[in-house]
Amino acid sequence: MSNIEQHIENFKETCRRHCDIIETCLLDYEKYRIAELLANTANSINQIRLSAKKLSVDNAAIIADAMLKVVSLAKENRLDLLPNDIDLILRANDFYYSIIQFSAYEILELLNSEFAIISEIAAELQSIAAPQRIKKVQSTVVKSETTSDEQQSKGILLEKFKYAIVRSVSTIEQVLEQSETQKEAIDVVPISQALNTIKGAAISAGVSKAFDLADAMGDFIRFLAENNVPINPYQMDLLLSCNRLFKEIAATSAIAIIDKIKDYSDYIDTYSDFLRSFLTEQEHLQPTPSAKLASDEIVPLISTVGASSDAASDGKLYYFGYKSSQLNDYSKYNRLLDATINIISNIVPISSSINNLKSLKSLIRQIQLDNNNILYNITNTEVLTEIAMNNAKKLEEIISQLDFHFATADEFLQNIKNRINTIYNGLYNFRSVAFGDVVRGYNELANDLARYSSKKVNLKITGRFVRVGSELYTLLEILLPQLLRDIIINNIEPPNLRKGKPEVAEISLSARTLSGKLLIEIIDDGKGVDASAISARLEGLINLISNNSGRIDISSEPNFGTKLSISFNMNYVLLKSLVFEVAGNLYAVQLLNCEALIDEKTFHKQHSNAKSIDMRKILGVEAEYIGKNKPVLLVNDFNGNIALIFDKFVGEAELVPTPANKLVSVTPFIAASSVYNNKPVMIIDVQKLLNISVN
Amino acid sequence: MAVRKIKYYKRRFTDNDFFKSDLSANKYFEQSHLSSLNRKVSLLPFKIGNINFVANSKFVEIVIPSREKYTNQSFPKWISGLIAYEGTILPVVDLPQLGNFRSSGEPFCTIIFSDGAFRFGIEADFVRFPFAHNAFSSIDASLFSTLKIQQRDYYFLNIEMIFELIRELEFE
Repeated sequence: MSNIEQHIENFKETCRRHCDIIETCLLDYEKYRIAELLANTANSINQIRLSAKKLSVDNAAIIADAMLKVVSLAKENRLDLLPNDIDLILRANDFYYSIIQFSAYEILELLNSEFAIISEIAAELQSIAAPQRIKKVQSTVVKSETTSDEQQSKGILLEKFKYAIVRSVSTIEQVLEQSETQKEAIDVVPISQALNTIKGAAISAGVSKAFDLADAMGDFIRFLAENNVPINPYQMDLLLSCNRLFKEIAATSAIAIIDKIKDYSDYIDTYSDFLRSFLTEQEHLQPTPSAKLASDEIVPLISTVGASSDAASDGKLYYFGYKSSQLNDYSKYNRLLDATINIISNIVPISSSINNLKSLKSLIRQIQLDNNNILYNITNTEVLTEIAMNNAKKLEEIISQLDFHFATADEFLQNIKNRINTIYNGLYNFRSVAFGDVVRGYNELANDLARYSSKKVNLKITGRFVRVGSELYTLLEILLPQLLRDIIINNIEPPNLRKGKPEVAEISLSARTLSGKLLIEIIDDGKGVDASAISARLEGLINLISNNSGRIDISSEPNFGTKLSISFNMNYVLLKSLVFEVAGNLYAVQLLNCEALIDEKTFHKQHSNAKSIDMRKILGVEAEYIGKNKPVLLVNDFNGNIALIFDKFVGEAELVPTPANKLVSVTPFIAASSVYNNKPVMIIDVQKLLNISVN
Repeated sequence: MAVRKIKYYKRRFTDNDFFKSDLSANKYFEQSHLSSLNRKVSLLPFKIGNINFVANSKFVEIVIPSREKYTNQSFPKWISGLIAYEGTILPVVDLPQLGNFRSSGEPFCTIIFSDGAFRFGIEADFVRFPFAHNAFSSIDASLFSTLKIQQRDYYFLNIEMIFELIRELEFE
């Protein structure tokens, strides 16, 4: 997608999101005259204006500019908006609203050609903000507290919000249940209408949380419909839970609704996170255009298989009542199946080309016979010339045929290569899981555990995109909830005992990979106890870790908290690395650590004062004249870039690391070993290398 | 080619259970200490430099053409480097260094030994066909012990001892 198309997509997305808000807020303002609504409107208009400016089309932002001017004047109480004015603004808003239905090209065309309409709308808006109507700047009177009138109108808005939820929830539930029982795709139109009602009411009542959740639900459902992705039972369950949440919110009186939403805010956050995480995952898995075309034929086949067996519900695992699931994502299988079918279909023409080569062989045999004839008729020039001319013709024919077959075979081979790459990537995705999938639902778990033990806890999870070997998945699913439970019950103090610390305890759970190892750290700011006491308490889990060739380090400081760092060898995950040669041996640096790969000359020119490490020196190999221009790899360090000088750059590779044994680790900065093109390659731990070179 | 033949040869012996024709097939001898002495062993002869060696072929996994090695000065002297085999990395034992003799310098093949848990390679100039021999009567506990087979002098290589050295390397 080109840059401008991307901008137009963004612009459409912004319009889709904000035009609704503008409309609801303005209509509510007309009725209830609450200043906050104008602020919301101005904010939304500004969003549209900013994304329109990015299009770099002259006319795109004119209307938004005029709208913003009017609304901000009204917001500052310098302009009274009459019902007529509001109609005009709504008309301008409709202009942006109608844009959503057009394609990118049509939008550009429309903005460029319909200058008359645009300037007419803009002129109307400017007439609202005519100089005679604008009041003078009011003296800075301290704004009085919200008047009783305004409070009353707010109450009405909340009542309206509640009513909107009550009305929409039943529709949503009905549609979802219908699609679940009849195994049909979700009917998008009624659901998005209902969600829009909730969104509009939420924004005018000032309940942003509810707006977020409804927005996330809307996005998710729209995404499913647009991409023809079948919904899995877990996602359906999630949607129903969101709906139930709305139901519970609506079950209270209008006055208590704000408090109720505050109570449920954690749930709302997690649910909308979940929904959005599905979105991002699905976007990553989008099939390549060519694969997408053919996959239509395969989808029904797979989905009937899935429906007939109970496999659809097999993905759920239950721990402590918290449901987690590995996605039953058939699109992955589809992609692999599609690629395999493609490879087979490409092999057929190649084999026919090979058959044709056989006919060429017989032609060559004929030429050989003619050659023999030449030897017999060496004195008869007439016969000789005839044979030679015949042969020349045949040879030409052979060459043209060979050329043709080479070209076709080449093309099909290239096709096969591409498909194999797809299969390879697909399998890579199978053999590893994102850490985010492992820890799905842990925020909820932490909150409930905290509530159960009357503590307050905030769980922060980082490294959701780190890929974990699928073999570790089950182990982590057993291990991490237990550790979290132990930390919350034993390490975290109740809020009244957390002296000098924030009332809400913070637990951070992070995952990262480091040269062939998966590091998981759980850090809390609890009371901190003796590390030996913790290890005695967690003996079973520690055994579990060490039985799976893992390692756990516990450090704890009284009153400051505890840190558990767990590391596992990752034999199942590929490391993207750059491979270099030094003195005939291969070394690899994880791509994650690399900043740039340049040659020695450029390095001396551009980074003359940067520190450099000659790998020959640090490996204890004698310096040798290798070539004028050695490759230099810039790696990132906290203090800036450091250059590693190798003999030769071999290539980029995806390596399967094997943990270093005693023999490999005689060189302290080698973290793991692997195999590249049937040769051993050592994976360098860059941080250790830098530490060693400093010392 | 050599590789295939060796594998075939090994299988033929073990499949037919040629030990059964031996005295040790008798239950009485199986329990006695004599059985281990009298049992014939399949030996793989190979040559490094001017010296002929034999090793118990039950430890031989495969013979492959020599490969490029990863070398490191910090390795123990009797390890000549690491090679990649079947996606894993194996140490190559420098036999000339262990036995203090001269090698030809251009080994043609690598014999890979395996005891089920560990594997290592030894580079040799060439390998001959294995044969069965009543070896244990004249073998002592040292790394190399002399043997005379068909008027030719061989050194019997005690592979189990090398495995012990390797085991120490792999685990701290």
